[in-house]
Amino acid sequence: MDFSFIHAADIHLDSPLRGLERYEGAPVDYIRAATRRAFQNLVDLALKEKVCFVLIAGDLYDGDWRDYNTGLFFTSQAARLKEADINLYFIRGNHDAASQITRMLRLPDNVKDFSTAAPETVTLDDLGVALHGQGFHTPAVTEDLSRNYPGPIKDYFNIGLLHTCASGREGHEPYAPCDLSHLKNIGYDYWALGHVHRREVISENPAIIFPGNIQGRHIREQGAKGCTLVQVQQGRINSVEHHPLDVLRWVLCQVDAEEAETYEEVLERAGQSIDSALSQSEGRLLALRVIISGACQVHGSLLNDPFRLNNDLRAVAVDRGIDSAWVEKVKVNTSPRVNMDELLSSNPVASLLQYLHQAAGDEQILKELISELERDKKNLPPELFKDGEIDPGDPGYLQKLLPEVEELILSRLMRKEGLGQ
Amino acid sequence: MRIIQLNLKAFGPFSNFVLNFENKGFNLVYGLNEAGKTTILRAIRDFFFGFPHTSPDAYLHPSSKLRIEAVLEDSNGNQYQLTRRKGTKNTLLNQEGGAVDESFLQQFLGSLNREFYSLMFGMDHQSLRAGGENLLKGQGSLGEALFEAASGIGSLREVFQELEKEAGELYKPSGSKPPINASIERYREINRKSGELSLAPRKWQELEHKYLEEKKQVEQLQEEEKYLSMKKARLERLKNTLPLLAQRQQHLEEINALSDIPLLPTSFKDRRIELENKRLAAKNLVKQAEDDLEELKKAMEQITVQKEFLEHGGDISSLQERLDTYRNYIQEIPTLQGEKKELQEEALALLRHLQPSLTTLEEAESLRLPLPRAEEIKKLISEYPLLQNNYRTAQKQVKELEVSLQRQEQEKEKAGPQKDASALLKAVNRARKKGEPEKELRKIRSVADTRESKLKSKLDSLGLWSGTFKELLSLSLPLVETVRSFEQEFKEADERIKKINERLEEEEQKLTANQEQLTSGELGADVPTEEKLEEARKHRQFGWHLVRRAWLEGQRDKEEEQAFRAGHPLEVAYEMSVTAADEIADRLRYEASRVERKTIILSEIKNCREKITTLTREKETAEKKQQELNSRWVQAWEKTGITPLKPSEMLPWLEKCQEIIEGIYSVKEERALEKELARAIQEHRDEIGRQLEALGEPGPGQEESLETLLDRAQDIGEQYQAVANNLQSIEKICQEIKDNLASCQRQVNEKKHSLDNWMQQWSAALAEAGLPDKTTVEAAAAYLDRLEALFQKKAEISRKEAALEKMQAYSRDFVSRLQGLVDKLAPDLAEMPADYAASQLQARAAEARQAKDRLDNLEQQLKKVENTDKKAKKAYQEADSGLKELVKQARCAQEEELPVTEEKSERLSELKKNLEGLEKQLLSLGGGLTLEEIIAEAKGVNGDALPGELEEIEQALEENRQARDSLNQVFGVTRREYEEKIEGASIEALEAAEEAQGSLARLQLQVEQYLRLRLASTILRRGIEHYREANQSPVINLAGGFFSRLTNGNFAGLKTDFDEKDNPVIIGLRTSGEEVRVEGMSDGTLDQLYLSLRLSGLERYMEQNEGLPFILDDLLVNFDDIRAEEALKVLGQFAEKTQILFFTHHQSFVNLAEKAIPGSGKIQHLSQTGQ
Repeated sequence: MDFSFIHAADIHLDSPLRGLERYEGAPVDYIRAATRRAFQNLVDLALKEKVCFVLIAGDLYDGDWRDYNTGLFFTSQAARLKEADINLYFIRGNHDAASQITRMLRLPDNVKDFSTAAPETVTLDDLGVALHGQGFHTPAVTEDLSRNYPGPIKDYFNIGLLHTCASGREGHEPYAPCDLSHLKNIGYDYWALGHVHRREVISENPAIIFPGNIQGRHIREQGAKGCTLVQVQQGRINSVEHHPLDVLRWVLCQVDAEEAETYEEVLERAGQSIDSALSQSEGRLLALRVIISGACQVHGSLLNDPFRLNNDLRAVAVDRGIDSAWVEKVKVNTSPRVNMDELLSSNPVASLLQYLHQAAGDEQILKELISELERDKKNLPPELFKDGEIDPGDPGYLQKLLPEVEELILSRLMRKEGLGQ
Repeated sequence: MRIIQLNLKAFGPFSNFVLNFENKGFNLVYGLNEAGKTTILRAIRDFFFGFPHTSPDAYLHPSSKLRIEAVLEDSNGNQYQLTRRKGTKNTLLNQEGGAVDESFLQQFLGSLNREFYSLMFGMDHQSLRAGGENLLKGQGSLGEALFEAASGIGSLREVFQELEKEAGELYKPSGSKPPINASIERYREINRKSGELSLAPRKWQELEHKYLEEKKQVEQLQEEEKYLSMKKARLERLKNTLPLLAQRQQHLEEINALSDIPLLPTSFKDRRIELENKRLAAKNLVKQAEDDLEELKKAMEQITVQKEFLEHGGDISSLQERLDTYRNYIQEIPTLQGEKKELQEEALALLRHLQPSLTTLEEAESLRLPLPRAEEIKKLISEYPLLQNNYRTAQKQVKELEVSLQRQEQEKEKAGPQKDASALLKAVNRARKKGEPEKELRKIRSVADTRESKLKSKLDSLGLWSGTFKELLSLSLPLVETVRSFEQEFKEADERIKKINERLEEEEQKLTANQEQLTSGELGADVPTEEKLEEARKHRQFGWHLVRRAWLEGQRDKEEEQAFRAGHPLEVAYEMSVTAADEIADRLRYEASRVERKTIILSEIKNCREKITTLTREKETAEKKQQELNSRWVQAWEKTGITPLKPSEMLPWLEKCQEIIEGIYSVKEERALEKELARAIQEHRDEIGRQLEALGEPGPGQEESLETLLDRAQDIGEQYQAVANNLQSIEKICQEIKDNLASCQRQVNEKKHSLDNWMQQWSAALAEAGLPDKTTVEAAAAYLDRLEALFQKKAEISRKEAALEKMQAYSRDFVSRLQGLVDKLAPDLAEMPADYAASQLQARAAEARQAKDRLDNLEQQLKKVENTDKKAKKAYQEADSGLKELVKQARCAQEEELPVTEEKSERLSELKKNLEGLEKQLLSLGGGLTLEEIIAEAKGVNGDALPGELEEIEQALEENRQARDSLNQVFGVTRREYEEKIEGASIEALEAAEEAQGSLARLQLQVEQYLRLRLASTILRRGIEHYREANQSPVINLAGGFFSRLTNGNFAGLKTDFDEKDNPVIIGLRTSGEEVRVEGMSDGTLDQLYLSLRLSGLERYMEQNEGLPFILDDLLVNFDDIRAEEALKVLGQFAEKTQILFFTHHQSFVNLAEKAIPGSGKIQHLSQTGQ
């Protein structure tokens, strides 16, 4: 029997996009409810491709989100699938287990979730497909769930649904770890995994796949996001294709400021980089993190007033295309054209720099600096430090900040030249 | 590294402007304001570090042309010449213009960049003053002071304040307005809003439950209504179908009766009539065609055609075309023959003229000259007149020039003798440039005399010392500052002794007063004292001890008892002792106040005595110091042999002395000038004398002044010069004539040569043409003309002959063609003239063509008629067989039966159609039932009962509708709410959450900047402390030395200490050991302190790095002369370590520098060299 199905995971419906400061000219309307629109795209794709069923390998919702409207949205989309006779099968992930919505939602009859108590098998006899799965009953499952999954049903196309960190993935909670060789050997044809937000084909035969999430929600979830469309012919996988579904894409926009002579020149080059990013966006809105690097003499003026630089680059992005790019953040990684490290120790400024560099490597000094900043940290909302983008209590963060601080000090000290100016 | 030479080849206002810093150490550059000092300072920096992107110095020279060249010398004495140009790469060039890598300069510059170099190795009076002020603002903060001085950065405080201000503007822990506080507030507010807008799951469940319940009820009512409606529809249907079913039955019966008649198509009748018409028409057509054929065949037999004329039609018409040309030629031939004969006769006549021996035109060819030869002779003929004329003109010019040369030689003889007086005139000029030296000499002499006599009288009245001027100058007098400091010390010593004396006196008075009180009656000796009581108690105790021993132990010590008893028995003596002690104790109690006063006075007396002893000792020490001071004072003057008065008296004396000494120096300078002037006058006199004698004129007379001598010498010199000038101008004219003459002579020769050349060519040309050698130009020209005419005639004859030949050939050809055709086609024309025969042939050919055309036409008509006949026969056949087919279709025996059968078939068709219509109507009323079902349904139905049943059902339906309406109202509200929620799937809460993320992102950006600023301020402070810890003692030690010298010994050095807040600070140490904080220093002293720190910072830098030119721009304008001189001395020494370029626009510094730094080298004057 020939058929196709879609495998997606980590929908995180109504999880708000993070890090997008609103500014004059920012395409606010275009980022609204981005995860919902990406999910609509998923349903559109299922209808267009006339797939036989859709699999979601966990994390339909964000764990701490309480608005039931999200659940209603999900059921309305499931209803669209139902009209086309497409069933949706999902397992609960760590976030779903924590979610109130999951517990209260009444599922439409074309939607089936798997037991959280033990592995469950659903057979689709007309297609010759067997689905095996078990959801999370608690947010933190640490045992290997796959161990209890039953063996394959003979002459059926066997699919395993599993929410897992696999052998552990950076930036993801180490839930339901599993032994990959076990997955390979159990005899299933396809493992539909979820939990890791970056797409990854772990094995081709049998296919073991993380499709990634369908919409990136912050700068650490860059690039195209979407689902996996699988075509099965005569009980064998014929093709596995990734289909982008995201409505907004997170992109690093590298700007080479090497030997730039003026601040305006850097803006000009940034404009070109933004152009090139836009040309590859396939018409999607981009959230850009602009990273300026290279040795140049405008190093100081780039670092001296970050607010101004931010505003100027945003204006550049607005110029390049209204409602096509959002400048998320600007990182200045440039270096001064003259290498200050080479200055000899007998020069007082060099000595200052030496101290700075020494500070970066000296635990004691870092600890002292941290304690100076501790009081401020206490007064600020803790969510600010959740992402780890900034953390005044983290020596590593301070180390990253020190080169910028160095330039802040130097550019101010050097503002006035000596004689004859 | 030092700059030896700096050449501003193209920079600012300068072009090729060279500054030489020949002195390796201290170089002074003097130039007024606006002389381009700052431009030069910039040039040095641009040379080292390259031109900035936009240069302020590219106005005279375009940016791309800016050039600075310099000669550098490294510490090993190697010299390099380098040029800096403006550009983006390869801007450093060597002498040959090749690119030099920047690293070459970097090895000297270390890794200093433009900014560091400017700050560290550049200084002016403003930055010096600012440095001093910063020291005060920082209250001597050691870290800041060292850092600022060593780096040259003067804005440290500002930077601190700025960082803290910016951080404070971003965030205040207790504020609400700063951006970060506002962002936090906003974030929290939206977050709260998002929570409020969320739809709680339980609330949803309740709504859903209610919705489903009500929906179920609505659905039940709908089901019921459906059932009733169905029933109603059936009854209504029956009401309609019953009559239709009856009609249907009737139709079926009639159809049955016509069952043996075939059903013919509706067009059957039309078809039959059409075929009958066609058959009749075809029959008529056949007859007409047969008649026409017969007629045509008859007409064709009557026509004949002459075929041979048709065959030769082409030849006949071509002959006709040539006929006109033939007629013309026959007329022209005789005319042409006559013209040819005439030309032959003219040619023969010309030939006879040219060469009588030749008689035929064929022989004339031997006379033909080749074309180039003839052209050459023509060219030579035209050149001859010009050549001859040129030659004659040149000869005439030579003669004229020879005559004017002779005239000038005579003029030269007439001029007088000649001598060179230029040396004399130069000497006169040199002397005149000095002005009026004799007058000046008199003036200076008188001034010096007056000054000297005044000084003498001053010296005589000086007192304490006498001697000559020279002795005074060699006298080593102590410095005014030294005397001042002695004065201060004397004053301090005197005051100290005075104070001690005052206090001593005070104490002694106090002592006397106390003693007097003690001895006065009231406090006399019998005031009981604590001491006395103590004594009495001891005595009593001792007695008790004796009593106890005797009483309890039975032992007695006679000697001790004796001492105690004092003649009384022991018990009496003991009682007495008890009484005595009690008595004293009682008295102490009764007379307590007296006792107290006495005790106080006694202790005061003791105190006074102690103080007196101490003060006396102090006084001795002070006096001893004063004596020492005195002897140091005397010693200070020892070398002068003067016994000094008090310092305060010696100060005015010393100033007077200083005045005299300065006077003496002035006199000395004036005397030297006087001597110099006298020597100069004599030199000029001698020089002019020598020059006059050399010219043979009388030398200077004894009484002749320099002025008169100069006038006389000038007159003589000018006379000699006039003669020399006249001769020079004649000589110049002669030379010009001679030059002209030579050039004219050359012309004559050239022209002559051209003429000779022509002659040679002429002879050769004549020979080749076969003409006699002496033939003139004119004769040769005539011969050539005739020869040309002869050959023209000859050519004309040839052309006529060719034309004749062509015409004759054409005529012959025409006649022979004509003859051929006549023989073949019309022998009857053989004897006729050619043109008549030709036109007859043409006419007969045209006749033959017409007959042929007529015949062709008839043949075509015949073919058409035959075709028509064939078609008509075929049509008849077709129509006939069609009719036979129709008879068969209608199942008839004969053609005549057809009309009746057609009518019956039409009726059958109509019946079937009606039946179909009835059944359709039944089906449409049947509401989806089949015909059989409708028939079945109607079977056995009583039509009369139907209306009653219908009424019952309508009633039931109305009841149902009312119930549904009221339920729908309730359900409508529930459903709307439910659907709005489920379909709208509100995003309000989500939007608020998204906005919260947006403001969190803003907060992140702000906080990060805040942290950077906080960190910057902390790190800067710590970094500076770090620098202080590492450099404090060496720099302070070095700086102490500089400070002591720069303050002229007012301070002995520097040290570090801690202030009230335990911060390390700088302290100045006076010679006297007194410690002075920066707050106690004057502005001048602060500047000196800052300069000391700067110099020591640089020295410390140069311990590890190559020294670079230290550029000072009017550094010392705020220093008085004495301090400036001292500072210059210090800088002079410092310049031994690294080159100093000292720029100033004050003449006084030029003088001071010459004095302070002997051999400070050449002074560059910008006004002289530049601009």
